[in-house]
Amino acid sequence: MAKKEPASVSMLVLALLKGREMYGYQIIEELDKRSEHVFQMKEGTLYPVLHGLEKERLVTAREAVTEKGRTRRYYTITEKGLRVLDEKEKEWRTFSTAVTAILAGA
Amino acid sequence: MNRLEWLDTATKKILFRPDRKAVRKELEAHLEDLREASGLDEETAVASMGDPAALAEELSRLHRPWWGYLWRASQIVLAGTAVFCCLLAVLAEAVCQPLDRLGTSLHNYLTPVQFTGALEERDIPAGMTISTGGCTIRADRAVLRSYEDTSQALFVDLQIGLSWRREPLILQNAWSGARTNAGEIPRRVIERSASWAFWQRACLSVEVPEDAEWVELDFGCGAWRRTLHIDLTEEAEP
Repeated sequence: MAKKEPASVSMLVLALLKGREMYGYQIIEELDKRSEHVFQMKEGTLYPVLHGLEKERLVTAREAVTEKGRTRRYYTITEKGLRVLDEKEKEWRTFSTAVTAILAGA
Repeated sequence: MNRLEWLDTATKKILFRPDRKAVRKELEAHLEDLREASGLDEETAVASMGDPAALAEELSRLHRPWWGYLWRASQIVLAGTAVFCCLLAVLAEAVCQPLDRLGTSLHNYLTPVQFTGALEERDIPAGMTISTGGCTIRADRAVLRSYEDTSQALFVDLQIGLSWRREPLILQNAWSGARTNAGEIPRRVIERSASWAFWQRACLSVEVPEDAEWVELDFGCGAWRRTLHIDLTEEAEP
């Protein structure tokens, strides 16, 4: 089975950003909440993924200073990011269907 | 590990400083958000952020390493240039001073001022200096000469240090006046003036009354005004 694993952290992050712009901590919280505590992402995983997505221009970032003086970086998905997310979603559904079919016949 | 150590470790491999600062601020805000939301103390919150060294490796790959190398190289070049300039300044001082003295001797030899008719000459202590941005004027030598008709004149050899300012001072414009304790001096002459690569020389003369105790020469250029005070009552040591 040489096919690449389609379910990636970057896909999950892009999916979360599809709805609205978010900052790092918010992404971790949202992922935890929506996956009902299945995906508890570490900062060491999230930030390389976010910065990698930014480098590939799949997301853009803007800095904003909060009332408490914190400099947050808000990430927004780009048009290119939406297209890549769409492809990843399709790959994931194909993969998921295949696995489900195999498990059903087991 | 405290908060600062964690942030230092997580960002230390990002060589490009603006990137490093931005990432550090982002991680710091994350840590604060985490502490605020979870109520954890600093140490526990920092521990829950994971291994900073592993994060540092990942971030260093993503954050423009070539910009980082160029940034470091530019810092080295900048430091090298600063050291070079300091050395140059020291060398210039060491080389220019003897050259300057040589220039003075040569200048005096090549363009002597003819003083005829003086009955008596008296050396006045010199060495006083006035300075302003980019220019220093020093009275190297002052001689009071008395003439047969009872008049007397003070001759002052000036050394004008140009510093890094290469264009010579225009003495005709800069020398704005002269006076003694007896009043303004109406007659003042630039006997000679010459500028070479690193120095400018001039010899000025002013007519001084018999009872004069001091002479003041006024210089000004642009916004600055300075006065060179020469005490005539003292006699230079032979």
